[in-house]
Amino acid sequence: MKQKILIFNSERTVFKGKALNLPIKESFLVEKSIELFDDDDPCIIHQSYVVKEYVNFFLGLFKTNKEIKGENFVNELSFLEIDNIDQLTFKIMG
Amino acid sequence: MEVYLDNNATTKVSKEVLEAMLPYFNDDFGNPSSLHSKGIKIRKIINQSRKRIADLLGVSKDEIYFTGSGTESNNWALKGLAFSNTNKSEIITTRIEHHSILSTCEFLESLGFTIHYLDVDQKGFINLKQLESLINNNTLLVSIIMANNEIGTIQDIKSISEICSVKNVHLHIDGVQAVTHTEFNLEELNVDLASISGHKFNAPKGIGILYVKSGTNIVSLIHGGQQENNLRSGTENVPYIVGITKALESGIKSLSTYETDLNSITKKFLKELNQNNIDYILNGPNIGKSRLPGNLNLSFKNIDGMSLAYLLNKKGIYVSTGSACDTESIDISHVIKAINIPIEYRGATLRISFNTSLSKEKIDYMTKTIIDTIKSELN
Repeated sequence: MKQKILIFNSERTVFKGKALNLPIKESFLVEKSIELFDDDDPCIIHQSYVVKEYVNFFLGLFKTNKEIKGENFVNELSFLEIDNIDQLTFKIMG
Repeated sequence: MEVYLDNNATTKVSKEVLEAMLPYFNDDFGNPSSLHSKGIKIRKIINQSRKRIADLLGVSKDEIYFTGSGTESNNWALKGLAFSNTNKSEIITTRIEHHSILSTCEFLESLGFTIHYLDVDQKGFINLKQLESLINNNTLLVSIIMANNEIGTIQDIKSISEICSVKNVHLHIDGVQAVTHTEFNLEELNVDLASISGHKFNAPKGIGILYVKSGTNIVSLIHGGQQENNLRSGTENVPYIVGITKALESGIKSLSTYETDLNSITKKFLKELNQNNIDYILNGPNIGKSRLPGNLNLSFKNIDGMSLAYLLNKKGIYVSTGSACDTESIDISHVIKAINIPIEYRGATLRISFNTSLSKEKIDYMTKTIIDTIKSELN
């Protein structure tokens, strides 16, 4: 989970940083927390686990590729707090 | 495949313990305080259980009290003594105690008690000279975790006990991780109070023991129906008392093979790490008499420990990182902080605690998977 991620469109970089720092919508964090723990207000460690679940899922979308197009995964990536997913490219750096 | 490697957190209730407990849920369910046949029968069971535990621990039955947990026993030991001995107000403990001791000490501090925290060295051992120097006429109690739940350090309780005896200070040991995992005869240890927790040795969660040496005055924390010699009220948890008795019996019986078998497993695992050039630190003492058998606390360089534990979880390997869930930020454990390991290793600490029922297949799987996962995180 140490991967560094680059998210960009034709004009600019939208996100560059560690996979674990991907911006995730609060509502999705709460939903996943309820699914896993039946808790809508998890402690920080359980929150961290929920984040890892999303990051693990996100990294799994790449399979053996280093890059994916947002337009192919609009629904799957809807948990991200990022606009216009369909116009973005997601890359694992390094 | 699932490989459970978090036995220092909790253990499975063994088949024989469960079988021993079952009749007391719905066949022999009487209240031991009732004066009819159903209650009298159960009263006898509790008395027999208490006697058996006392025999196994080398003490008298009147010194054994049943509680709801190791945490309750720890709370009761410190608060019970503190509130009954109002002429002394200093307590000495260590920086690597379980939270149930540290939080209780914080509470007592808020009431005006002075708490001294002994430093520990890199292996987790206290300095006996520091202990001696801190004891004075106002010292009520020394409270020491006999076997540390995170890094496995087994303190030299006999030497600590000698110091406390000479200085006429009460000694409490948190024996929660020690019981059935290392030699634990309370008469030989010569302590005044000792805490025990059933779910660390294949009894269920929700039952503990507090040993209170005859002549040690503690007050009750739970008032009511005068159970436990009027010191811990509440209708006795009969099936769990039966369970912890059976578990203690089994655990003590298998101690010698337990130590040998687990030390062999942990040594082999470390050898594999070395052969694969994994950069790690073994926190706590070397495997041997001063370390809890089966406990490994490893810090890896430049890896995120929680990510590592998460990835292992996805592969069916269940370990611990020592992080607590009641904090507002994720911090490294206070025990790891206290032993002062190099900064680049602090972020990735795993506690792996084996048991003796692991098959060779599971050991091979966990070894390979842990090594592969570490290598993958490093790349």
